[in-house]
Formats: sequence, C-alpha cells, structure tokens
Amino acid sequence: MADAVLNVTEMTNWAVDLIGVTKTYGNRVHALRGVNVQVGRGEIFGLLGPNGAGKSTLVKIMMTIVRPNDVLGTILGRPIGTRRKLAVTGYLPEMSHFPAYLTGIQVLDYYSRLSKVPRSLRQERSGRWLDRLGLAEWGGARVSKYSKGMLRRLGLAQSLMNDPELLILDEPTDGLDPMGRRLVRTLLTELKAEGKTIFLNSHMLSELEMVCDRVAILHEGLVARQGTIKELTEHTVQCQIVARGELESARVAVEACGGVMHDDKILVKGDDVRCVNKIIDALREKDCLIESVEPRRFSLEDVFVEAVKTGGRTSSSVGAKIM
Amino acid sequence: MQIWALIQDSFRDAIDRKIFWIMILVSVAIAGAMGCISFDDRGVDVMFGMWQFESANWSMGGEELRGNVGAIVVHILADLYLGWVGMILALVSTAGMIPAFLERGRVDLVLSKPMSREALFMGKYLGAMVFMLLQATVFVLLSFLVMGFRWGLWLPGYLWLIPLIVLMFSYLYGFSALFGVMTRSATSSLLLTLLAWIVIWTPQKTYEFLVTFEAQVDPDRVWQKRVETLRWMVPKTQDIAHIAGNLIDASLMTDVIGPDDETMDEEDRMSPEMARSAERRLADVNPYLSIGSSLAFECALLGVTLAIFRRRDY
Ligand SMILES: Nc1ncnc2c1ncn2[C@@H]1O[C@H](COP(=O)(O)OP(=O)(O)OP(=O)(O)O)[C@@H](O)[C@H]1O
Ligand SMILES: [Mg+2]
Repeated sequence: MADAVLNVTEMTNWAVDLIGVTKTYGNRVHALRGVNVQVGRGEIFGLLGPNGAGKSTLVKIMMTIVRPNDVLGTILGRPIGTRRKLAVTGYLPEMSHFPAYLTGIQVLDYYSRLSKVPRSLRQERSGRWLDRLGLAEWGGARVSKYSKGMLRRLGLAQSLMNDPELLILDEPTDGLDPMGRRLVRTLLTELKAEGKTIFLNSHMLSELEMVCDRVAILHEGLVARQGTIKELTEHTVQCQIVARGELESARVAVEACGGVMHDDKILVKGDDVRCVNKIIDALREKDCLIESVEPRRFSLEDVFVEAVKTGGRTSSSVGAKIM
Repeated sequence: MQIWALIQDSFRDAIDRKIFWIMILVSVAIAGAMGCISFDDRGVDVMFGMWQFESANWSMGGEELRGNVGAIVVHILADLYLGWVGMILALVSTAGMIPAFLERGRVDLVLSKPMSREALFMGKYLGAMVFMLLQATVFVLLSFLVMGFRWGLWLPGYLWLIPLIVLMFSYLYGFSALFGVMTRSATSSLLLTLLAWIVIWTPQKTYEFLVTFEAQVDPDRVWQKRVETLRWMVPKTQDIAHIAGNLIDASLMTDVIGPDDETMDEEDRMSPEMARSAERRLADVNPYLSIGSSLAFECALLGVTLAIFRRRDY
C-alpha cells in the first residue's frame, strides 16, 4: 500500500519540487525565506540571483549539506535527502577542493565509490569523462598541479560519474575559459537530450539564456520571478519609435495610446501593433517624421536587474536579510 | 565498500604527510640501533665488535644478561610508544585529518554522497585507527624481529603492544576528533586534545600518588576513594602502561627468565615493604574493567561528536 503511494508520487512530473524552503543561519541571517521551486523532468533549470541571494544554500539543502529550518516537497519523487536518490544525483559544489594527494583518476574513483558505482563502470566512465572534458592527459597527475579551470572540469567529470538522473551544478562555468564554457553548454544540451534533468546556479545570464528552459530569480531568499525565459521576457517587450519634429504637440494623443515620451523617442509597452500604429498616425498628423520603429525584447539581464531593484536593494549591496 | 573507500582515503592522506615517514624512520632507526647490539657466550658486543663487554664483569651468565637487557629494552620501548613521546607524535600526525576533511569545498562533496553522516564520520575515525595500527605494527614488529634474530630473544607477549598502542591512541583520538569537528582547525584541536589529556591524567596521577603515599597523607583512604570514582569515569591511559608491563613481564618470565626471583624489588632503599605493595596494587589492573570503562567513555565522546557533526551546516 505504502509502496503504491510512493510509486505514484515518484511519477509526478517534477524532478524537483520544493515548497516553502526556509533557512536561517544562526538566528540572524535569513538566507532563504520560503522558496518555492519546481523543475520539470528532463529540463534545464537555471537559478539566478545576486551574490548572497541564497542560491548555494538552496542547492546545499537539496544535497543534505545544509539542514533547512523548513522544507516540504520532493526530489525525484522522494523526500529530500533520501539516500537512494542521492546515488542518482550528480553534484558540483560551488568550490571543489579535492584532496591534494589524489590524481585526477583517483579523485573520480574515490568519489564514485562513495556513490556506489561498481568498479567496472568506474574505470570506463572516468576515462570517458576525462577525455570529454579535455583532461585526458592529466588523469594521472596529482590534482595539486591542476589549474583552477582544470579543477572545475574535474569537478564536472566527478558529478557525472554516477550517470545521474538529476544533475545539480553550482556555477558550472565559473573559472572556465570561453572554450570550456561552450563545452559545458554543449554537454548540458547533450545530457538533456539523454533525458537528464539539470538544475544550475549561475551569474552568467547570457549563458542561461542559451541553455535553460526555465529560470527562477532568487532575491534576498525569495523567488522574485519564475518561468520560461520567454514568459519572463515577454511582458517586457517594448516598441521604440524614433521621430523628428514637433513631438510635444502630439504628446496628449501619444500618451492616450499608452506611449511614453523620452526626448525624441517614444516607448510603447507590450507588443500591441494597433497601439503602435495609432501613435504613428498621431505623430504623422502633426507632421512628424518617423525615423525608425523597432521592437525591443528585454534580455534576461534586464528582467534580473528589475527584479532585484523592485526588491528594494541598491545594486551593490549583497547578502541575505539580516535581522 | 564506502567505508573501505574512506579508510583508504585516510591512509592515502596519512602517507602523504611527512610526519608519517618520520615516524617510520624513527622505528627503523630504533630497530637498527638494537640490531647493533648482540650477545654471545662471553658477553655483549656493540657495533659489531667495536665495544665488547665481558659478562664476567656483571656477575651473571650470558644467558641471564641477555634476559635482563631484553627486559629493560622492551620496557623502555613500551614506555616510549605508550608514553607521551609516541602519543604526541601520533596525535600530531592525525590532528589534521578531520579538519582537512571538513574543509569548505571538500566536505560538501562527501556529504552529497548516498551515505549517512555517521558512516562518513566512522570511516574517517577508523581511518585514523588504521594509520596507528600500521605505525604500531611497523615499530613493534621490527623491534620484535631484531630481538628474536639478533638476540635470540623471542617475546610473543611483546606483540601485545600493537593493539595496546592502538587502544591508547583511540582514547586520545576520541578527543582529537571531537575538537576537530568543533573547531575545524588542526592546531586548535591538537592543543585542546593535549589539554584534555592533562585533565584525564590528573585524577589518575593523583590516585597513584594517594596509593603510594597512603600512610603519610591519607591513612583512612577517604580521598583515595573519591579520586578513584573520578578515575573510573575517564579513559584510563595510565592503566595501559601497566597492562602492557604485566603482559610483557609474564612473557619474559615464561619465555626467558623463568620464575620471578624478586631481585629488583629488594633494592628499594626507602621503605621497601610499602613501596612494593603500592606498586603491586597499582600494577594489578583488571584489564577488562579498565579497558571496558575507558571504551565506554570513548563511545560517549563519539556520540557527542556525531551529534555535533550531524547537526552542522557546511
Ligand atoms: N555557513 C554559513 N553560515 C552563516 N551564513 C551563511 C553560511 N552560508 C551562507 N551564509 C549566508 O547565507 C546567505 C546566502 O548565501 P549563499 O552562499 O547561498 O549565496 P549565493 O546566492 O550562493 O551567493 P553567490 O552568488 O555569491 O555564490 C549569505 O548572506 C551568506 O552570508
Ligand atoms: Mg553561491
């Protein structure tokens, strides 16, 4: 009976379904204040947020490294921290600091032993991933000789050793060169094609836009926005009209149609073509010359900055709410 | 499989440290120095004929001389490793293991693996024990073999030192692990461990003092009883030396010297009767009770450490 119930929950669409995650460090640092995040199976999910927003804290809670004050929901259909599911979860920490006395191959072997990967698979996979991540020649060298980017690559290889269903990456491209970044992007797309779910944290907004299906913007321990990139950027579509002439005389008509005038530019929120045309009519009536009409879609960065601004912080301050 | 991986990791960690090899080197050097001494019918030969001492000068035969020198040497070696020299070396070489394991970026990964924090911690703990077992085996076995082959003195009882050294180390390592988890710093945990050692040493030493000078300071044994209660509560590090001494002496008597003739005790100058009885009483340790109660303390300490480790955020 209980088994049947579990099987049903296991079949939910969400690979990660977190409800009301709260974490307070000590008594004062409110790192997470009721975060809800849902990640569909087989999708790439990006978690965005300024420094100290609580991204790593959320990921660490999923990996049982940090104990939440409160959490509901499931990962791969099981309560957070279920060991069987940790065995099929890959994790790349924010910083990886491998024991200096191990070689690259030994690192992969050691950590996958802890993940209960059988020996035959360990050998085969470590060769494959070292090769794939460009470390083929370095496998036998001690990690104390690795550069920062090489350590990052090794960390990624490590996270893939148990052939995870769910891959949780804390800033995977941090410290990588442009080639490395591209490599990671292609790798992620390939993994997604294999049906794996990927959850990643990043500051690299442009990169997220390239690979993520859905994103959430975390700010001061709360999810400020969540949705597909299209959804998030949609309602910020604008149309910009540049014109010459007596613009002031058309102001009333322009504003009636929802346009906002800035010097020689008029911005129209949304993508309603009729509004734009009405404004053009009004301008032409006053003999203004239309120079250009261009739709402008806001980038994820604009959404991000706006979400953070409306959160009420100055752009330079960081960290969780301290009360 | 996972625990074994952790133990192997501790082992790799250990042999990567210079102090591990320094300790091995010291063991080899001691065994080498012992190898430079040999016995024959005429007496003692040091450094392959460089110095020779005729046994006639000692008023005992070559056989007896060998037994006595052997007895002195094994007691010195046991004191060396069970005393503060060996233990401090061992604590220094292992103090960094747990703090290194708990470093940011390193602990994250292991905690994300499908094993409980208890198992993780125990793997690391056992790793340190394996390290000590290795060191003790090298040290004891080398000197055992040198005594056997060079001196013809085979003392199986001497091999008891191996588990006893590990046991002694585990009493102290319990503190080291606790402070390692608490402070995450090798230096702090080492200093705190030494402090804890002094703390548990005090009631034991006080007890020894009270027993030895019973007649002078505490004829009614009031204080002795109080301190003894306290002594029962802490790991009895001092007892291990007694237990080791008893086992070695037993082996010496059955295998080498023959029945005890009590020649040594009669040389006590002060009040021989009393000193002997106090010494006897102190050495007369019930190993099961002593070790059992000490291990109970160690388990309690481990429990506290685990409770802290389980709750921590990393
Ligand atoms: N172990 C800890 N003890 C106390 N406070 C912590 C701890 N870890 C994180 N914090 C606090 O929690 C808040 C969130 O930190 P977190 O590392 O999750 O941020 P982040 O979003 O990952 O930031 P970044 O982009 O810089 O990596 C910060 O204010 C930080 O100071
Ligand atoms: Mg972070």
